Amino acid sequence: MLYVKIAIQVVLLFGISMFGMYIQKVSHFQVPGSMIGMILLFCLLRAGWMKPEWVREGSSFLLRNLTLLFVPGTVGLIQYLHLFEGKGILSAAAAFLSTFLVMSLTAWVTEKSLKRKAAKSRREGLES
Amino acid sequence: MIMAVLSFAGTILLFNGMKKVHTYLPTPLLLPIVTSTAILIMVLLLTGTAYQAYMEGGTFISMLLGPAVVALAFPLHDQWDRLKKHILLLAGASFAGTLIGLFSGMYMAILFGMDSEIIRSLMPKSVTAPIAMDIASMIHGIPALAAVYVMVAGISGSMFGPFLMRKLFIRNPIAVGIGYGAASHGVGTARALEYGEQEGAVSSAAMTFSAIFASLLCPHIAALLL
Repeated sequence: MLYVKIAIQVVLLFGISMFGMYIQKVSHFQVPGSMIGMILLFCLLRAGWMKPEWVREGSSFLLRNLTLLFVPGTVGLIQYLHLFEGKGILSAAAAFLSTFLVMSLTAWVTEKSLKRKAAKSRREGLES
Repeated sequence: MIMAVLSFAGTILLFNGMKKVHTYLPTPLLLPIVTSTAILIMVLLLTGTAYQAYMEGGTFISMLLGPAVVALAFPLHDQWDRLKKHILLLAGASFAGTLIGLFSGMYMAILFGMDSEIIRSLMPKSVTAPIAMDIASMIHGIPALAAVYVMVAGISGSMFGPFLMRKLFIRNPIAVGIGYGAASHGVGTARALEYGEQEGAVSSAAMTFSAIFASLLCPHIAALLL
């Protein structure tokens, strides 16, 4: 029974993603269709036009298995193995370093600004 | 037909087996995505099977990526009450993170003398794979190659993340979540969930924001490349 529910909800999510792709096609938006579908579903849920129960089991199922869904795509690397010979491997180093930068800077700046906010509200609390 | 069934079922069975291996030996190098991909590539090379033949079955797995991205709306809706207090900070930090990721990736790749199609595939590496692949094809990169850089970003982030948070004295759950989500998308979010639920929710929101910003910004920044 649970699997029937999951299957029906996945079909519903599939339909929303197809609809997003259709919007992308006719509007020439530079945003992937699946992303448009996600924003659409979020708005429908917020507006209460769709009940969370309609997609709960289906989305948990997909997100639980999200990593598996990438596998056939990453196996596609087989067609580009030659790109990683020689200096091509440096591109992986670029991805690594850039990730390091992004994580340290975003986390650090957020930590700082939250601290400042907390200190400010403490000061205001003392003055009043 | 046999090939399709074989590659479909084989991929799922292999992945579940590798998940078990990772629970026994939880090192980042044994992440199921890494081991499954490596084993499948070796099997295809050893048996002389073409990728197109493998994808006869594989395509039934990857076609679920579209609905999976749509499904991200659900946790976002679910956690909304906790997130909306910090929504501006979340959006701002994700926007900054996306810009840093796009430009640093692009310029480092240029500096290292990479070809244009490699640079274009590398740029969207900080966002979740299905979207990065879509972005890559939009800006004339190679989607499969984009997926590889996405994995580099995800795996490296979850490897050095704990070290980095410790060294920079980052303890606020929101800061931790944003760091993982903006830099290492879904793989990082899984890691952030190990810290706690709030870290996980913030991370998945940051990953969603980054995906939206990246798909909006990437085509324009890639246009600088020519």
